Amino acid sequence: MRLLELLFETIVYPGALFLSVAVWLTQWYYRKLCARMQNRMGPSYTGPFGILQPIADYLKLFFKEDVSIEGSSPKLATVLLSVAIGSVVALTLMLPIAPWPIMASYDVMLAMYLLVWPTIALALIGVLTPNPFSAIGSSRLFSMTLAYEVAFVASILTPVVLASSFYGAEYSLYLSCLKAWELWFNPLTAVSMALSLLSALLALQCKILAKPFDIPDAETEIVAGPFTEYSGFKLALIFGLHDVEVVVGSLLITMLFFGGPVPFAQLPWYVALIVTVVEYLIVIAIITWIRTITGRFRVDQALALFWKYVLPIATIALIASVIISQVL
Amino acid sequence: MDLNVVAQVAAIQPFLAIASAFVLPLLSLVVKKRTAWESFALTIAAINFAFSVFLTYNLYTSFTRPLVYAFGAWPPPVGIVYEIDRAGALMGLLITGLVLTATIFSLRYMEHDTGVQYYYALLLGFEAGMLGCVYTGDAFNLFVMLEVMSVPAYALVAFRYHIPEAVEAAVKYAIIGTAATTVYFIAIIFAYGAFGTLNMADLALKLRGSTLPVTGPPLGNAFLSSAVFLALTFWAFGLKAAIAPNHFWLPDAHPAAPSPISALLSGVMVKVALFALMRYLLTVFRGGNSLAAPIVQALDYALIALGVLSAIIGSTLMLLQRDIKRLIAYGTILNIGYIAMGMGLGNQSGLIAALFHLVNHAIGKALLFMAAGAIIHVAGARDLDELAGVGRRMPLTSAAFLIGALALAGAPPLNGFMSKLWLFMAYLETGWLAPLVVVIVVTSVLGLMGYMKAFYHVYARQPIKDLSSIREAPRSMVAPLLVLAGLCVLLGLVAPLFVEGVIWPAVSSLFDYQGYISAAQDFAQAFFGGG
Amino acid sequence: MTSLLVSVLEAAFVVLVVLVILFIAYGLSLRATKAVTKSSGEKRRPFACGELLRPSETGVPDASIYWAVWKKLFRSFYNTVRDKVHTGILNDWLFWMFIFMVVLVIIFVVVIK
Repeated sequence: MRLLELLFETIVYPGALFLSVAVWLTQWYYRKLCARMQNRMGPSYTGPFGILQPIADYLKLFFKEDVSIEGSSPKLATVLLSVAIGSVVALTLMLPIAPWPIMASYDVMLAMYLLVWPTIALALIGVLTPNPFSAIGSSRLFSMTLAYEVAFVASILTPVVLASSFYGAEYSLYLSCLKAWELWFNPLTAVSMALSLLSALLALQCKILAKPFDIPDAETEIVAGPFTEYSGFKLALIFGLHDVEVVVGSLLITMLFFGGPVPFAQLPWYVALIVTVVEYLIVIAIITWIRTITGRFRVDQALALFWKYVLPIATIALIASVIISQVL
Repeated sequence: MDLNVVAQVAAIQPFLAIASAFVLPLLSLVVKKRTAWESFALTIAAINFAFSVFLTYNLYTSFTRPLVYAFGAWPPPVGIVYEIDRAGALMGLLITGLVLTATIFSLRYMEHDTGVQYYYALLLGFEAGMLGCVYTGDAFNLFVMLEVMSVPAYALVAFRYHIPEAVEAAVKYAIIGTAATTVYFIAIIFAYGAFGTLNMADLALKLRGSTLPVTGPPLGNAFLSSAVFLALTFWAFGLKAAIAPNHFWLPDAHPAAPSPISALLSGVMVKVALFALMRYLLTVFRGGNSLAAPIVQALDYALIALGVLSAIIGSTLMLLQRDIKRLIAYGTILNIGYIAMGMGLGNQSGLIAALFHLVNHAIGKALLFMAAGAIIHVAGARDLDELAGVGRRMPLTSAAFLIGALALAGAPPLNGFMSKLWLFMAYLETGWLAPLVVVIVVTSVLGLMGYMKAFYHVYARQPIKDLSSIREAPRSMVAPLLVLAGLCVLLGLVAPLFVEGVIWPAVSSLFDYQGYISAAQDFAQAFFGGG
Repeated sequence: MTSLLVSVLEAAFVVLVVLVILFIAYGLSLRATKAVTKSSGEKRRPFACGELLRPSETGVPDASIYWAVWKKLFRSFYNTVRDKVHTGILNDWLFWMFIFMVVLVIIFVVVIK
């Protein structure tokens, strides 16, 4: 029975189909917003306001030849990418939008592990092709993982710790999303929440490789970094993985820090839905805005930024949350 | 099954191993064929493994209290006893299983070495010492078995004595290791002086006010002597287990040994030391109205602090290594740090995490060292730069290496991830220790990067030398690797059942000082007639 | 709520399902692109912006590989830990270990009264 529930969730909602639609619409929004901020048109011709552009891009890749160069491991790359996309889908099933969620006490650490794997997979596929650009790109991606991953975990852990000690959320991601929004109303915990929101946004910016952290994908320096030698379906998988990361990462921040539809549970369902979508679009807009206005960091600058500034902020927020939860 | 028969099976294991260890060189004077020595060693290892399976199965299904075997039928506390509970049987199974795997691996690995009869003899002696350490119920017998375990280890590290680094590493290890066992001996002196007994069950009883027959109440200041005993014992066993800052010998000694021996040293020997510490900490000195309760608390905090230090040192230094085996050895320090952190929590959750991670790390580390050994054996080099791309020609070995690396780095759903997840859970449960979760995450990420470095050099990098002579490792070397890799995957997939059915009973038996004491008490009272 | 380890297995099941879906899609894509001929020659060589790339040049220069970046960032930490603590000289090691033992005995015997 549980397997059937999981099967339905993985394929229809909030799994493959739902995420495909979300990726499509989010990508259109992301590209259109970025273009308008840079005084460009953005997608305009495919469908009204260019709304079908992401679908066109994916279809194009689907029908292109998948060239695998000699000395690479194409099957291993496909497996790695599919497993990575699967991890992100499994993470989506842990959020409150799932009807039969994957939920257990202390499952926030499982969520953290599921979040790391996409980046590791992207770095590994770069290593598998015998191209110096891919090798340098993968190396930069591993360095980035050393930079942001801990900050991201610490900043996600703070609302979970606070929600668990104040509202009994048992360190489960699902229950924390249901309760954590109430922490904003207590002035003590609101400071911790603000600090961890800040570090979570910066860490997410780094995770989805958006400027100023698109170091592994630096077109002017290393062609396409780890993705240089991939084409056709595998490139579609790579873009799919990146876009799904954007969607799920923003969804995670929306749900955990702002509560998603939960604060408006008493109001009619469409109000809650609209507010959730607006919050989600605001998070994407912040990411797009930072992406539009900044240049690119060097890899050691990014590492130094996270270890000197973002990680201390996140750790202070976490320690403060632990102290508060023990004292009160 | 009859209690006596099972207990005798347990007691015979170390003696079988050590007797064979002495017989083998004598046999080699008569029979000059190498295969005879190898088959002899293999048979003994297999017999011991079969005994362990029998023992563990019976202990988990039939008996609820530890088994007591008294040597020469001298009852405790007068004689030396083996007191085997479920945790001890589990450790015995781990030891004999990994020794069997290492012996099978050594058949082809040591094919170019001479003096192999001494290698197998030392290996069997090593196994005897380890089994004695986990089965024993007597403090001084633990010291003896510790020495029996350590001396072959020193010799095995220096086995390839024409390599100067190996001899240097062995000498340093021997000096440091002897210091550890000597300090433990001094600790036993303090304990004996104050308590008047060396039997662990009797010590447990005396700490709680009563006593076994023959011996009387504590003679001196029991609290002070427990404090000194625990401090020195913790130092000594922490040194044998390579808990920082007593870890300096490990990165030199473990890589210098032949690879199957490295697998055993990193895989089981450090775990035996941790198990002995668990035995003292949990069964003897903790719980109930034990006199030594505040000291045990302090020891818990020390374990957590030093576990964090070990994890940080192990993970940060792992990234810098250029020798593949040294990189894996620093990974051992990292994981011992995790086990120490689990032990330091002192509750059931923490101990389940610690014991589960102990089992998983033993299997994964043995797998890694043996896979690295297979690669080194075929490629003839140890430096990562020289091993560039070798793994591409050895697909099975590389796959096993990758599974081992992923298991220890903590990739779901392999076994290492499950035990680390339990450790996270145990730490989040305590509330105020939650920021240490960040330490675990940082060191896990660094550990993952370290293992990825090894994998990158071995598999993903383009070859720089001519690799046409590189072929897959021999079957008898690949087979143990595949078995261990399969075990990693299997333990990960059935982790909920494994924790509930195997780890939790073992942890309960560690905490069950009542059962431990009453088993020895019944034996003694049966002899002394109600005394 | 299910047990924690069971939820890991549920997540693994989800990953497996997604893997199957994507492999089916991959198969369809391969079928759709069957019209394109099997690639050979120039297409299968690594992309080097039009230059000739020897196999020995496909590696990463040592300074940009990730552990070198990390090492450069934490150079002072490593200099202390590696060169002042882990010296390789046995006497230094024994010194640190002895200090540790003294601290331990002091804590256990003196402080816990």
